[in-house]
Amino acid sequence: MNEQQAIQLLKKGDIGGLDFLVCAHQVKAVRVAYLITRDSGLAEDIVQDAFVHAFFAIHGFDETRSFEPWFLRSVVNASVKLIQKSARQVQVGGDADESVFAELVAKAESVESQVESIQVQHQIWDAMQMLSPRQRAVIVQRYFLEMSETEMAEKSDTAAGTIKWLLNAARERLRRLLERSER
Amino acid sequence: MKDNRMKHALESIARRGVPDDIDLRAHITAKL
Repeated sequence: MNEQQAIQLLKKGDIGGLDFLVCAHQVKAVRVAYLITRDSGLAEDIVQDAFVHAFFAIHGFDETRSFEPWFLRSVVNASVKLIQKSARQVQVGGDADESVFAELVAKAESVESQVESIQVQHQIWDAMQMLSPRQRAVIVQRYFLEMSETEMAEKSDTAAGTIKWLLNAARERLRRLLERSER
Repeated sequence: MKDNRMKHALESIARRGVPDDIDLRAHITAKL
């Protein structure tokens, strides 16, 4: 069975089609949700619900297109919405972001090969928590999913300028860390 | 290169948080 056949089965109400799609996409989808929510249990719940939604919404899906971008869009949007609603979410402004990344850069200067090290990965992970949910989502879309800004705007029904602004606000600080670590 | 390094860092973080062998099928079926 291939993906197109699985979608055709699913459109006929055959759950075997969903089984194929879950096996093919669950790990990447949960990782995307995890990078945004920072909670693996929550990420699994989000992806379970996204597959349930896909089961009922599959009739509106154009099966000539790839399933993954359509599905991951719903996972990203659900993750952002859930985190935005969470009382635990810590929102910080640009100044606070700046200080966090300035600290990261300072640490990066002191040790070589920082980006590959688990320690700096933890620092990046911690720094991402300080970004807004939407900023975090665009970082995941750009770097983990390797989407272009144009694709990100199309998939999220957001103006390209907004995506560019969101991405630049988070990316430039991360890039400073990466550039310093290469020296 | 810088983009690749960021991707590598995020992939490593994601792999540590979410193992390769997760299986959501039973949970999803229960929700249908």
